[in-house]
Amino acid sequence: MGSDFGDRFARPALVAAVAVQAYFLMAGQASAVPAYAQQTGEPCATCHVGGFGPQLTLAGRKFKENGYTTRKAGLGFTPPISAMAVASYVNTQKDQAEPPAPHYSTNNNVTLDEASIFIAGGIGDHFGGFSQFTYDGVGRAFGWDNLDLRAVDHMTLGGSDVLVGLTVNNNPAIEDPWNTLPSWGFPYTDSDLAPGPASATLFDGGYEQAVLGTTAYAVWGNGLYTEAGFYFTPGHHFLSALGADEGAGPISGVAPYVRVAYEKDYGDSNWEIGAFGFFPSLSPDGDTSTGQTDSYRDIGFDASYQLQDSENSYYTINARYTHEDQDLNATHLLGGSTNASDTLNDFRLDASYYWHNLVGASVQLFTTTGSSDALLYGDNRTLAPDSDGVTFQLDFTPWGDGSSPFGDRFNVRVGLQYTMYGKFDGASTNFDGLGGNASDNNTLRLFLWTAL
Amino acid sequence: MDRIVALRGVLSFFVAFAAGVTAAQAGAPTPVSVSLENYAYEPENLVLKAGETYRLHFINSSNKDHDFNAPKFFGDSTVSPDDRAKIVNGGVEVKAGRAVDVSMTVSHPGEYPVTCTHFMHADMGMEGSVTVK
Repeated sequence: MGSDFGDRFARPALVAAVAVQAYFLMAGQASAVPAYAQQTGEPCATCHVGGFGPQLTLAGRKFKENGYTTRKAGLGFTPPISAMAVASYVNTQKDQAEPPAPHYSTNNNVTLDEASIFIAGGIGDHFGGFSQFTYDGVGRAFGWDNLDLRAVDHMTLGGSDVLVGLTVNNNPAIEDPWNTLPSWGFPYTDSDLAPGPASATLFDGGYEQAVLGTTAYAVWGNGLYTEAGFYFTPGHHFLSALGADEGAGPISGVAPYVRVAYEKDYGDSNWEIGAFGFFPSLSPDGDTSTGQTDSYRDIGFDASYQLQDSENSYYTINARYTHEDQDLNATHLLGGSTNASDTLNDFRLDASYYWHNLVGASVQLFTTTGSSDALLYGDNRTLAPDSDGVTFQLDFTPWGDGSSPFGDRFNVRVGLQYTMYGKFDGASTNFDGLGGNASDNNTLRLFLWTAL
Repeated sequence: MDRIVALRGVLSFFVAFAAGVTAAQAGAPTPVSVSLENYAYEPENLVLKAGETYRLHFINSSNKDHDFNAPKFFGDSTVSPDDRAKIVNGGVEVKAGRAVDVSMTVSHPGEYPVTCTHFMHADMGMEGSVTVK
């Protein structure tokens, strides 16, 4: 059913997406090569904590909520095209059992992680967005990446201004303004060559670029943010044409998504608290032979705090807790799980300090726990999905304050990440029954991230 | 001779005092302070009297530039010739940590919206109004 539904809606969606992107491209050829910074006349640091990367300031969140439409007074239509690339050196404490990808070694790999082109900007006062196309340097393939197209308007309800918006996107929560949810959460860059735990909630990357969805949101004058929408799996041909797959499995019908948050702004500081829910039913690996589907209920809470001091340095904290109920009706019948129902719990807490938008230090604690299942987690000695650890990051953004000698558009960040695992796939020691320890997966990563 | 000097001094004092009173009655500006903060005006709603002359003292003690943009309000008022250059595109720009004074006579009763036109400041709450009664 998911495929039929997807094919029916995918064709007009594809036509619409191509039309919008063609419009951006045509306009781009008419005006130079501007980006959001050029559109707004603002340096990167106005919208991005640390002057680089996805972590948004309050101004950045407002720009996003307003559909990326705000532009510097007096500027005409300036459709932007931007580019980005990330490269890494990845070292694990112990050689990985197998090379993490073809053409790589079991350790000490240097790679181009990704190179992307963004078509992004606002059209008038009501339409804006971005579409990212990426060359995956590890998988050595092109594909579509994040998509976030918006229509926005302001209206007056009960005497208060309300910003209302409609998004079309391909990654649940990619449209969210805060950096607490997985799509734009810490770490803001990683490498596919680094080992990672096998278990994660579906909300945490299970449907990146594997779905299309639309959500409607409202930003109320009193700080309340409300959003609701749904996601579906486009047809197989649609996804293949864009270099994507069906992610965790084709969604049966549509998957509802809801979001509510409250933000309080004190000028130099602000905090947010919210909740979210994502409810997909899916056919595991597309197998519909059982006539059953697996149903997931991902419900969570998040909170964030930001403080900008008088010297334009930032302190940030982001937290997220997700509880996932898994009714594995199809998987259980197919012999993929011992239990008909399982659960996962995931908690993330990160804090960062950015000095003058130049030097940043961040740390994240993460822990995933869940019910044991002898078939679902059969590769784990303890038959449990549990993992936990901590990630440290130090980074330097030499022109994060907007002083790039190569123009306002050029920016670069060099950083060092180190991830330590306390537990990995169920245990601290001998997690795989083959003598592997969680600490074997401790990963040091040096990255170079450029954008223009 | 000393008495004459003393008398002249007393007379001069009274003449100067009388001149000052007359000037004040004739419309010497009434000082009013408006604070521009991250991201709000204080007061948020400024109340003025039609026909009065004010010296508006815009002070920005924050670490960000702001402006007091009210094109209709400034358009409906008579700004002192010395201060007209401070009104650009209907607003007064006040750099971080600075202050700007504008003398003006407000003429037309009404309610005038005020907003900061800096990037996203209005969306962050930096809006207000001037009420002329």
